[in-house]
Amino acid sequence: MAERNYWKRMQRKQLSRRSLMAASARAGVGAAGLALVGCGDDDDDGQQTAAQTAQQMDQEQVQAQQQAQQTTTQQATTTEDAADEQSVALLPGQLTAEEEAMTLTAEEEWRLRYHWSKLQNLPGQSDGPKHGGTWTLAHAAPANWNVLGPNASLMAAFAPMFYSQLVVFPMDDFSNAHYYLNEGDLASGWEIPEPTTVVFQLQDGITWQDKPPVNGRAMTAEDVKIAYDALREEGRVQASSYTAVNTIDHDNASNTVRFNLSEPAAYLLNNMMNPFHTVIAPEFVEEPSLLDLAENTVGTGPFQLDSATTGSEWRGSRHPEYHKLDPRTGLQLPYIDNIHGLDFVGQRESEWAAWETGETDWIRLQDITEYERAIEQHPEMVVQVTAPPPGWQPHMTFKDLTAEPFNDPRVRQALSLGMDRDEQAAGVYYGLAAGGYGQNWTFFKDEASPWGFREWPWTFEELGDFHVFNAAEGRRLLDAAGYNEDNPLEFQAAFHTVPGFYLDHFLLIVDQWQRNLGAIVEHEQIEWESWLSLLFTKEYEGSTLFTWLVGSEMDADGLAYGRMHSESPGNIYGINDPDVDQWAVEQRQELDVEKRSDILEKIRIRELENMWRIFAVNPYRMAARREYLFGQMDTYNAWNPGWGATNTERIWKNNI
Amino acid sequence: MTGYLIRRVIGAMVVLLMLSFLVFMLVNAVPGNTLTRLLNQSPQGANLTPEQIEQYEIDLGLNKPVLERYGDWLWNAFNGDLGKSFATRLPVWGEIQDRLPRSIQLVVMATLISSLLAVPIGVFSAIRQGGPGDYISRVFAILGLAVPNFFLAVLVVTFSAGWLGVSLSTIDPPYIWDGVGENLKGLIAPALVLSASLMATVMRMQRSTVLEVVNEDYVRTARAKGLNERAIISRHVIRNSLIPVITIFANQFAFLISGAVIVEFIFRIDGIGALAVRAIRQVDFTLVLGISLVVGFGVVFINILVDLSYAWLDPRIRYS
Repeated sequence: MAERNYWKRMQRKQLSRRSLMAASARAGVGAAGLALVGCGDDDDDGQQTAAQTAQQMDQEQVQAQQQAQQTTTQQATTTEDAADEQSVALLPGQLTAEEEAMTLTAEEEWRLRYHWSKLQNLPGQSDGPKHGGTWTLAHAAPANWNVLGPNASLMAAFAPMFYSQLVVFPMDDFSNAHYYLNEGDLASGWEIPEPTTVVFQLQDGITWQDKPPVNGRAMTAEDVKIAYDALREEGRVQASSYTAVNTIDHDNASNTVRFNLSEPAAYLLNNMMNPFHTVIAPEFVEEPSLLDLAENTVGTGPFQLDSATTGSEWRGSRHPEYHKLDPRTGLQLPYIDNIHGLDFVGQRESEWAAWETGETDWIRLQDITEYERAIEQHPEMVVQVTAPPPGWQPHMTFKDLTAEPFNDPRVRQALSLGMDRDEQAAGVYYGLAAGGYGQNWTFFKDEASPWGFREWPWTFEELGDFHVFNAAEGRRLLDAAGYNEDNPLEFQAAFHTVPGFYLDHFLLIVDQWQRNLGAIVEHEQIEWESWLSLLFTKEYEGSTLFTWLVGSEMDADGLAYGRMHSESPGNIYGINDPDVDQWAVEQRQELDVEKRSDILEKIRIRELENMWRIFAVNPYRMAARREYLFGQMDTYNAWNPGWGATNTERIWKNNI
Repeated sequence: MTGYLIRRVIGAMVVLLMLSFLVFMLVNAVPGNTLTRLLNQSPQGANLTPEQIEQYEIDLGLNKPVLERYGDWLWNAFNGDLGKSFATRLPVWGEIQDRLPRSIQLVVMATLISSLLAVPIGVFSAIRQGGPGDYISRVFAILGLAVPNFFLAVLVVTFSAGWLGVSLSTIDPPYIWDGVGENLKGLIAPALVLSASLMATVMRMQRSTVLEVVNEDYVRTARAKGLNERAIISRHVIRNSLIPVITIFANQFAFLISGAVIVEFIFRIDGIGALAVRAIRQVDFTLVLGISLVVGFGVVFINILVDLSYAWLDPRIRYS
């Protein structure tokens, strides 16, 4: 296969990244457009159903989505370039002749080959979804199922299968989860009559699963109110999203729930889409520890959890009274009858054996060598290359931004300039990595995108003056800060001991700083458990710590206020800038998307000038699914299937 | 005999007490705990204030001094309560009880396979000393000792999938009383892997003890009396050569248990071994302690049984 030669192509001269991004965007937009206009009856039905569903939704939001779809369709239909028409029918792994002729880096080539939009062209899509079958996947079987406990955010990969939320984001082969479009789940629509009030209209006929203590009874508006009151209780990991919520009222008669806010909260709806902000049965609110047990996992979601053995497996089956239809096809959800998760954590060869023998329908591919292995065994498999989650970005943190030498921004800027990020991508991640830094932020506007913003990755050049590799400038800055050959910059850098590409990445950064800047970096590797704690406690001996945990909510606020406001408990970096504090608060209250984006841009520019954290490169993630499995879309929010409410309900198989 | 037994039981209790103390202290020496692990794994964990984290610690009893926690645990253990798993909040004994049958079966199967194959091969190898059969069996014995069972397990899982198209790690064997066929289908391969090193050890020991015994006076006497070779081997040689072999079985039991941890994990058998791996990964104090105590009890109990079995094998042995 042509892609086997990517190693040689990796060495070629890079093409302008901007031109590549344009090509990528063309392919994506074109594919989306063709899917909308050219897929026959199914899609016509889908559009009609979507429109019917949309009538129930908030008018403003519907208009925004329709506008986005129109833009996409116009883009595709007005494309006269033959090469572009060719590109829209491409399958994952294929390139247009024009793209084949380009000189691409590995990252660019793979991004083009496996752009998410090509999943819409898969053979079998036009036949439409089928009901039935079992989806078997490698997935951890958690020890604790409590969606209100300290591990609640880890439940994000499970909770959407069994629970519901007021709002979710659509995610399947036809919906780009990266756009964060709000879609009703329990809510059929919502309105914001004034900036401090959000009223959710609930769908009719929602029932709990037929398990104790709710035993299939109807869900009420009061149930929803009680559940959200539990989520915003002090001490819950979800609570930070609801600090602006004063009270929640309900009206069973009109089937509505009203959130009364103390101030406008621009982030609220997006954060509510976070897949662990789930509606639990009111019976468990009094004694939430009952939710620890799998047997008490009962919600209104598409599947009900039938059994779970920690560390081994779990099984679920269709919730027969599930309340949702697929807005695209109008068909009853979920499509799959059963889901079966097999826990292979730490048992990679067993996971491979299950994939090879057809036991599982999906596998994560760690790197290129695994891709080679998988494609050799199953050339028909469908590969997805997914952008990494914003909460996981390799970066270096500083123990104390107020103490020497890192209180001097020139030192931090120099360290960033001394990083050769291209070398990191090629040397550690086989070229399949790009500039990390808050990629879910609405950083760069793009009118051609239905989202209104450009997808990750960013170029190093557009991330300020200090993301590019410029060792000479780095040395000059260090010299200006008083560090030179006679008085070299000396500091300690720490990371964990677990072998793998993150450790390789850390060691390469240390080497680059020594090699490119003449710094003396004493590096230390700490036992894993200690390292996990150190990021939050700052009790490590060294002066810098390498990590990949950034953390964010579904909204940019998680990174802006959550991580950078001086009074936020999530500001583990010690960032303390009055302007950032003010902007972080302003963006929370700004409901106008454009204006809010402008405020966020100011925060981004300020951070990238000051380099309070030094972001490196972030690897893409690869996964493979069976050729008969559809709708199983990986998301860049988490490298797990199941993450995202619509991820599991819209999966279907055409081999049943 | 009764006095001997009482002394052994008291000794065993002291051993178990020391074991529990050591394990408790070691587990507590590990940085972090279940809570910090959960919080640190999730970016949202950083959104909690120290006071909120402290409240979680109080809920789990992690705020008390280590010795006080050990005392509480010991008192409860004496009363038959091993506590609740920090991670799952399920009773530890229940967690162990659910998995014990599969693990015991795995170890018993491995022991049976070892003894049924290794003892005859060892005897055969000894009485055919220097022959091709002897060389072949010794080569396999060396291989069995040299190849670690985790490696062998990975090989078996990988090649059975690649060559036979069978995934041995997703069979999920039921309890044997819920379906013998499916149970054996799931456990035979891991039992074979687990038995490999024990088989090698037993075979080599059996071979050397038979070589010693065949030169004993009573064997020579039996031959002189005209007893046929088969009777000599079966009645006099094998029985008298078994005592060191049984000692090996007892000594190897602990290794078998530790081997089962890895083998169960790789074959995804939901047994005590896999539970132990999970408990350690999650820094689940109470579960690690409970498993250690139960496995420790098993090892001590088997050793007492083996000591008692010497008298049956050799009537000259008397306990005082």
